[in-house]
Parts: sequence; structure tokens; C-alpha cells
Amino acid sequence: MERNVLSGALLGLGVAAFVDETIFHQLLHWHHFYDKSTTAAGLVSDGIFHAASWFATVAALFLLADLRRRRAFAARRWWGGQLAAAGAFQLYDGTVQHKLLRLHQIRYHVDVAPYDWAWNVVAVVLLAAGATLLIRARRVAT
Amino acid sequence: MNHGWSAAGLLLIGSALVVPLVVYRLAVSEVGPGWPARYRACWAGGLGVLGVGVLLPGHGFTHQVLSHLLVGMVAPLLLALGRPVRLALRALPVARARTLVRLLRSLPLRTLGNPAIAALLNVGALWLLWTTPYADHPLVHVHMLLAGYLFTAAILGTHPRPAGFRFRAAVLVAASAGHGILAKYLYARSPGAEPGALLLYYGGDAVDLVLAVLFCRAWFRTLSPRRSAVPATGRRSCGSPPAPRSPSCR
Repeated sequence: MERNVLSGALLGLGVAAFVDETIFHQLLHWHHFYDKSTTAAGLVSDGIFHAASWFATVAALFLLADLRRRRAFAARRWWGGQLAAAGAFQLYDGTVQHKLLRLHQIRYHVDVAPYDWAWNVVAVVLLAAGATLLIRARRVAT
Repeated sequence: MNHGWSAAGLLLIGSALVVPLVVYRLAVSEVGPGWPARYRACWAGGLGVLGVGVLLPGHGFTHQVLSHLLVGMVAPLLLALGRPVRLALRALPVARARTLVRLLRSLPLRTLGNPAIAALLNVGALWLLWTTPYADHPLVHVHMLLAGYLFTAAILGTHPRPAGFRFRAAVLVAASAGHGILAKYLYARSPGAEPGALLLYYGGDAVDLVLAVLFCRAWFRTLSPRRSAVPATGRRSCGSPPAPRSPSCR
């Protein structure tokens, strides 16, 4: 993967996971650290994504510093990668992790359907915006 | 792990902390003023954290977790940052340094120094310790320290000939995931263990974040067009053993 896209994508993954962790887990307390319906596969998936997002954030920033150092930073590709990755992770979180693996729900003691829809629609919008930027960047390049 | 240390036990622990400190000092005086002060500070700090982790009074799961974080993660990180192997290679007479290099390249030590094996020894032992009725023994501390050191040194590449960056990055993420999954598993499985499990989860994350930053910084420096030189060797100007080749071994 091209370095700008890679750096953006890693940061996108990290930012999506960070927003999830701080806003929904720590501030709103909507998400639970663990709920009783969590499957073993859910724990493993969550563990891998959580660890990867930590590392991805740090690696993305160092990659960005390297791009700047080499004057090779390309904003459109970088932002495209970031939005697409953030959307892709959120979509994975909202469909596979929340629904299929039942890691935890977005919110408890309410009808969760509107929350699920909002979550996944935002994910698709981010993904589409990122993809558009990446396609445009390619068009400009060629 | 409160063992109600006996006088003999305390003496043993005391010497296990003081002897490495003294040996390191002697080696530094052998190498000369070129050896960075921050390496010395890391080494002393690591031994200090180790002492606190071993002697920490208390009992129960939360106490075990705190002790693991200090003895198995923070102390090894600081000790590895003290670059003891590089110091030994500089301080020893040439013939002995060559012997050390040969020893480091021997199959058993190369195997133990492989990031994946070190990670398995490190995180795998934690799974065994906390998911099976494993004996709670002072030797657990020794294992945690050694496995933690091997893992940290392998990830940061502080020993000669570190593995490639991609492999090390993958192992770091996998080990960190194994640590986090264990914490959530214990949180879910054992009622009453929640505070300890949360400490294990967030404490592990904090140390892994530091590891990730140090690892990426080492990568960043290898690509640097104006890379900082290896710290000067001081008065030993010739005949020192081959310096670690890989630029990532900083």
C-alpha cells in the first residue's frame, strides 16, 4: 500500500477505536467492558483490534512524520485512507462485533435498532467519503 | 504474592538487586564517559521497580497483577533500555566479548531471543498462571522478569541482530492482544477478580503503548537521512568487538 494511504488508514483505525473507547465506553458508559452474551470469538476479535489500534495509531504518526520529512505527504490520499479505514472499522464493529459476535451493544435498556442504524450509516458514509477521495487522488495522479 | 520474606530471602533479593547495579557501574567505568547517562538511569530504575514489585506487601489477585506489571513489564522495559548486552560487549576484553557474541548466536539463545518465542514464554506463562491452579511460587517472579526482558529486548531490538521490523510489529500486536484477551477473560470468568482484571487490561495497555512508541521511534531513526551516530565508545578506540550491525539496534 502506498505510504500516504497506509499512514492515513492506520490512523483511521486508531481514531475510530479511540473514539469508541473514550466516548462510548468511558464518557457515556453506553458500551460495556464485557457483557454476559459476549462470545469467545468476540473476545478474541476485540482483543486483536484493540491491540492493533494502539499500535496503528503510533505507527501512523511516525509514518506521517517520515512522509513530512521526505516531503512526500499527499493530503488527499492520506485523508482518503484515514476516512475509509475509520469507516471500515466502524462498519466491522457495528455489524460483526456488535451483532454477530455479540461483543456488546451500543446501548442498553433501550430499543437498540435506531442506534445500530445510525452507527452503520455513519460508517458507510465515512467509507464512501474515503473511497471517493482515494479515487479522485488516483485520477489526479494519472 | 506475599511470601512473608525470611531474612535469608531478603538477603537474596537484596543481592539480586545490588550485584547487577554494581557490575553495571564497573562496566560503565570500564567503557568510559561515552556511555549515556540515560542508559545508566534506566538500568538503576529497572532494578528499583523490580525491588518494589517483588517486595510489594499485599495479597490476592489485584496484588498479583500489580506485581506482574512491575516485575514482568515495567522493570524489564527499563532494564532492556539500560542496554546491558551492548555494555557488556563494550566493556569486556575482546576475546571474552567474542565469546559472548558466539554465545548470543548459539541456537538456544537465538531461540529464546526470537520475538515470537519470547512473547509465548511471556504471555503464555500468564495464561498458565491465572487460568490453571498453578503453584504461586517465588520462582514465578524470576520467570516473569526473564521472559519480560527477553520479550522487550526482542521487540525493541536492543540485542545484536534484531528480527525484522514487520515481524516484530506483528509479534508486539499479537502479544498485546493476548494480554488484553486474558484480562477480559479473567474479568468475565472469575467474580471478584474484576478490579485486578481491569488493572491488568489498562496497565498492560499503558506499557504496550510505551513499547509501541519506542519501537516506532527505532524504525523512524533507521530511515533517517541524518541518523545520530552510535554513542561514542570512550577510551576503547580499537579492538572492540563488532558493534551491532543493524541500525535498529539503538
